[in-house]
Amino acid sequence: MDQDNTAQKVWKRVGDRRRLVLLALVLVPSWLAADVLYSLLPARSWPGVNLSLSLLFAVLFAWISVGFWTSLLGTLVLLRRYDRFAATGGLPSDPGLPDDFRTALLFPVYNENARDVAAGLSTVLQSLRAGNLDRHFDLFILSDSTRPDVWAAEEEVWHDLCRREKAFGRIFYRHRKSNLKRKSGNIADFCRRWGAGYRYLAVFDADSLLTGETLAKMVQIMERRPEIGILQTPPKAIFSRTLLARVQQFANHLYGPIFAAGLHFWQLGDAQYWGHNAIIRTAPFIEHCQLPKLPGRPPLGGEILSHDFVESALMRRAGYGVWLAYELGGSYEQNPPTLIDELVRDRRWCQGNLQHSRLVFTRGFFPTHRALFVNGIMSYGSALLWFFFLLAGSLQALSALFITPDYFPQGRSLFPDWPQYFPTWALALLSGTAGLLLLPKVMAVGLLMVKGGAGAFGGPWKVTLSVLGEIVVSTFLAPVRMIFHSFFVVSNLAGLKVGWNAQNRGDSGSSWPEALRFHWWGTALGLVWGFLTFFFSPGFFVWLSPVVAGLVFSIPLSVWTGRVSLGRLARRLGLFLTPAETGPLKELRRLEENLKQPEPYCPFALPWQSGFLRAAVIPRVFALHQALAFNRRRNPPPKEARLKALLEKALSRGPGSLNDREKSALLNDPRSLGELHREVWRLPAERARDWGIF
Amino acid sequence: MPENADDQPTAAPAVARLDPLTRDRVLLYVRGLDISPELSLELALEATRHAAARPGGAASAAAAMDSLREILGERGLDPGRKNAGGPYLSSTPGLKRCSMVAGELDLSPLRRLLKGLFRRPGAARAAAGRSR
Repeated sequence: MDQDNTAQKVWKRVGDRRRLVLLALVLVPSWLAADVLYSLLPARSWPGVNLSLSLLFAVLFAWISVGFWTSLLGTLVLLRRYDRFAATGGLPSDPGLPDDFRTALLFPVYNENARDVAAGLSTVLQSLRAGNLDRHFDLFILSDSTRPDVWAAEEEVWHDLCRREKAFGRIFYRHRKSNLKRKSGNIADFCRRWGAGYRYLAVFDADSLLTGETLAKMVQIMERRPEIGILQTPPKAIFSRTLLARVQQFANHLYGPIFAAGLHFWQLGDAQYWGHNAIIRTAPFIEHCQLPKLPGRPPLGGEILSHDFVESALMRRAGYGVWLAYELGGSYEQNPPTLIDELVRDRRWCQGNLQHSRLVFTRGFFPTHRALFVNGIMSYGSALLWFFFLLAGSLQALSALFITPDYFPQGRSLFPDWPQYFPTWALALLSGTAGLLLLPKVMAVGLLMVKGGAGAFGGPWKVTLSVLGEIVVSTFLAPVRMIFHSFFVVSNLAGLKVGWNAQNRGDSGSSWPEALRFHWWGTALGLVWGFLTFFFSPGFFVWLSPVVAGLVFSIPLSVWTGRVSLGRLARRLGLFLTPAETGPLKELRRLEENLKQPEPYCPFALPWQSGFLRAAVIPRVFALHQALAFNRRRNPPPKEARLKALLEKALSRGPGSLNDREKSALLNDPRSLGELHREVWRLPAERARDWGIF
Repeated sequence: MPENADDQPTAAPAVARLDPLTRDRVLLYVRGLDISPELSLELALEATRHAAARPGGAASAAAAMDSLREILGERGLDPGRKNAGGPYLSSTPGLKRCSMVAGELDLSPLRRLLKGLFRRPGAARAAAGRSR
């Protein structure tokens, strides 16, 4: 333990120094850049506009500087090939694990596609078995699903999976009736029931994957370094098919490694937990990381939505390190397929991050985690600041029309005070800002060329073209993201609540009506903004045109970037390729096969997604659900009467007459479901057809 | 296919009197059970024989299903009856309970500090006395 404390002291000291340097690297140039901007702005303006513009510019400049310096340091770390603080340092080559404990692999799910989740589980288990590691791990599907069809389908899929993989007693399934505290409550519920039996727990997302070898390495790292509380891996995006998802996936594979290495450089043991693809030391997690409810009402009070950041801060407060194992491969996740899906997810994340404003000053948190809270807030707040900056810029441009120039501000004089323009400074500022945004991409390509591996991205030319394509797509989408993120921030601060929707992971794309419904106001804003600036200040319109274009064309951009056909075309052209596609790991190939597996044969014409119908009708599924039911208590008379009325309604008017709540009530009561099953099979042919029986 | 009339099972005429829909429903039900194909066919045949032997000959689907359920019950295979008080299928390991309680978060220590600084000395003394 003394050794651990010494190690912690060393990395803490080094980390503090590095962060001070980062602070200086960010603050000093931002101040200088804002000063230059202030001197460049025409004096003829409404009061306060120039100062606001400069202050906003300073904050935004600082924000993009953090990304730039992180990427630069990440590039240097990866070029150096040696990092004395790397979490994987000194790992044995043998992936063998001790036999005295097991690790729980948790798959929290919420109304997800159960068959896809099972395909992921199957792949993880097969990968563990290939390395003869499966005896060290137990897999848990932790369901918080609220839709009865999904719940019953999950049970059936779990049973089929255990049977196919011969994994009864290895893969477990638990359905929680109340999804209190959402994902964090789901994990906490696991910890309370079974956590004491596992030294570590690895958390997955419904669509994420960790290979057996990576899992073994993670456990080995945790065993070697008892001071680590959470070890996060950087997941790489996979299986993207739409154009947008492919662009994001490419960016994630190309720029992600340098960014992760840079984050590690600054953060060391004060890193973040991203909620999945991470391993957690169970005992301190149980003892210190249960989340309290924030005082006040949502959106800023109530249950903590973005639990992961807070859990890492709590773990750190308890004296354990949180590390990012940036050099560890074999960790994957999937991207939202369309812009609308991405924005829907962002709305949820935005609320979670804004909630952290309540936690910034919490006693006992480490400064780095306070900074990370601010960083999370700025992920969305920066959009609003950018929006204000552009508005202030527009006002500045318009003010020239309404304010009469005063060439003699000092009164009568022989020498007029001509407005001065410094093109060199303006160009320097513009190129400096552009450099901060674009150089990380150049560094990533440069690193690829130096270290080799461009072939895995389609070759040097294709990589270059893909980077240019990615810049074009992200430039056009940036204004759309800006106005949506701004809207999310404002609506959250105004007290509007956000629902918890299952993430869309399909490839259906966005339809034109859907895009119109979602983006009409952005388009209208772009048209009005563009018209006003073009009419009153054509010079400024040229500067603003990329923003205006992104907004005006947001509807077609949203539809086209969400198309699988365009994603496929890009792939055929060799654009946006990633190593996971050109030379995929055997686990990824296996996952692809598992995802494509046909449904098991069933003589009933009831799709597997109709979980309730199948549980009510198919004897095998009914028996399984009944066997798993734990509510066998006799109901009080009023409830019994309600259930009886429900049963009569179901039998007389068919399954279509039941809503989700009514279906759940029947599924939750074994006696009522038993009665329903028996009576459905006794129905005359014309009414039995509604239940899929002839 | 049987080659001559002698090969026909003896129950065939009785079963043939059943409404095809009723017969198929019984067959569908046993196919939906998690049992071997031989056993499911045997059960279906027995249930249809039972139903056909009922007074009136052409039994309704409900009566056929009742017969099937009786047979399944006798053999301990009725999914409904089995679970009326039967064994649980556990999808989880044995419980190993522990508590996980949220610690208190002091969200605004600065405000508390300022409050403490500006508290009247008498009130501070009284508070200190109470805590003693």
